[in-house]
Amino acid sequence: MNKTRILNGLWLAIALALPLYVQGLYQRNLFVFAGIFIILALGLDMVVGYVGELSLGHGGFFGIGTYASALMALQWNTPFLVDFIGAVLVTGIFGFLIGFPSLRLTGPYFAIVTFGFAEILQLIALNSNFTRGPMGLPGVSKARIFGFTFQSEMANYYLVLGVVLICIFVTHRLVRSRTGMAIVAIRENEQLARSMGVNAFRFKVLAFVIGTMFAGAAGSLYVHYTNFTDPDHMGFFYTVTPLAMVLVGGRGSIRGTVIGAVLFYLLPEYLRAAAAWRLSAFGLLIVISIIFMPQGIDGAIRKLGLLRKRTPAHGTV
Amino acid sequence: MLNLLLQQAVNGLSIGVIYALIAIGLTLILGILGVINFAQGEFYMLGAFAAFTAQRVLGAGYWASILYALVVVALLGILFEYLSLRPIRGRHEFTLLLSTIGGSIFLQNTAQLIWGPDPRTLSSPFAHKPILLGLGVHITQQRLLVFVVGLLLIGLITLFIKKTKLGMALRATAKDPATASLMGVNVNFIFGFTFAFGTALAAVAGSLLGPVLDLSVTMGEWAVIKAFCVVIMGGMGNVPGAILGGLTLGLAENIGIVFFPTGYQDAVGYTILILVLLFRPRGIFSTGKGLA
Repeated sequence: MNKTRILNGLWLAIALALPLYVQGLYQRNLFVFAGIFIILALGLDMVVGYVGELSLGHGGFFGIGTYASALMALQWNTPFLVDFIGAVLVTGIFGFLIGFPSLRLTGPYFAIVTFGFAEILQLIALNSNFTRGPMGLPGVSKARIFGFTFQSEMANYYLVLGVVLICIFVTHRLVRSRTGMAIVAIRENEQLARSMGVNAFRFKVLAFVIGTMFAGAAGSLYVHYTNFTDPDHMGFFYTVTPLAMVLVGGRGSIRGTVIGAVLFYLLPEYLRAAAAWRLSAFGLLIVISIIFMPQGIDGAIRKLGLLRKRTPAHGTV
Repeated sequence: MLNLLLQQAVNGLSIGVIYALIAIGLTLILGILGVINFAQGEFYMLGAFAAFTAQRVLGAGYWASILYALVVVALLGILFEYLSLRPIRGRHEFTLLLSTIGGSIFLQNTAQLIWGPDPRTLSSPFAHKPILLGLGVHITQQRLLVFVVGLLLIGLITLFIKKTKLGMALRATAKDPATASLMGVNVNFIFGFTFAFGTALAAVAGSLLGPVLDLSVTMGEWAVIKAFCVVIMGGMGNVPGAILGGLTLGLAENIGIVFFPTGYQDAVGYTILILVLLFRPRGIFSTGKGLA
């Protein structure tokens, strides 16, 4: 227990000190995006890792987060914190409306129905007047809290880091709580969990909604940082990328998801040496890492015995 | 109004045949390998571009270019199955799906490197001149050809699955790979064959429809989504269901466009998809008999 505390402290120290060592603005900028993707991936892992269902609609919720935040900020001039929380709530409501019917299905059926919902959301963003169609919503201002504007890359890095830590805390707490144990129990053996009196469906919906709220938070941070969103931000890219992060990192593990997200966000950027081949290599890497690391990076680390197991993983409950 | 509806029905049926071809491939792969092949759309795209290369570089005619596309993509399909699916057979369905997603990203971006981002066109000896079918309904020669050849192919595929020995081995493997293997079916061969067969169907669809499209490397994204809708409507792994589903989706979209704003044409498919999944998850046309 003590050892893991020290280790966690070490990770936090590294995360806090990172901008001191990463000097270039472009590199710092990358770390801001990596942080946003950690939030997105943690949200998806709530569904993929803990509920044990494959959501192919996560990008749609990220998009809702960007649009909800941008619309509130542009139309009503809301302060950052208000539209951030608003975006999280709105995304959560959509998460409930979509998750409630979808979670009655499982396996490929669930995957495809969530995909269909996300595509419809994108079509709405593309064809509605209030979203300004393909032109998108430019001109969202930088985040501002109590008079402090998050203008620089460094300031945004710490803002995103703060939200990442909150999300890790929420995930950790949820997984360790009775609710979380019920969710894991459902994943491992739904019938057994049900027979013990666990209302499986309710917990699945809860985890799904929390996961979508993370996506909303990521979307809100994203739109305030880049000042812009358009229907592409509901696209499949924002589903596949966090999915690759979660599966390559190791699903059902906070550590794995964070490692996967950082690696998968930075890797394509550093593959720029291979410029034009970057995205091809990205696709190839997904396939290769799946074949050679069945339990993801987290599983590989655990296998090597480098770190003690902390989060409940597959087959442990 | 009646004319318009009939016209849209004709348009819908001709595109529906294409949907059906891609979806039969997808549903066969799903039924036999148990994999949702997310890269199916890329094979459709590669079919069209392989035909383009055959025409421009090798100087092939329209029919020869379709044949070329079929062979090239079938070989790619074999390679794809061997490299990205065979090593992880039996693993979690997410893993298999993600592997095909990775493969799809790879294929699309590699195609972009090969053929570039500019739209290309395929040529065909069949004119885009409309033929009057009666009641003011028209169809172009090329679209009529697509419809007739597509329908013919679908008939052949059905015969193949129902009547041949290999078709029987496919059905047996779909039902129970272990038992099929005990009965002397080479399951490894069947898996490779099915993947090649399924992707080749997408390639034929792409090269057949090619002359009426602007070819772009992103055209597969659209195709895989439509094929999903069709597979869901027909019931997973159900070939007759995929045929009916393809035609129905084509009709629904093209007739739907008369009543809905144009931008929402694609939403017709998704709405059907979601409604079917929520209320009849085994498919509208499902007989519960699987491949047969």
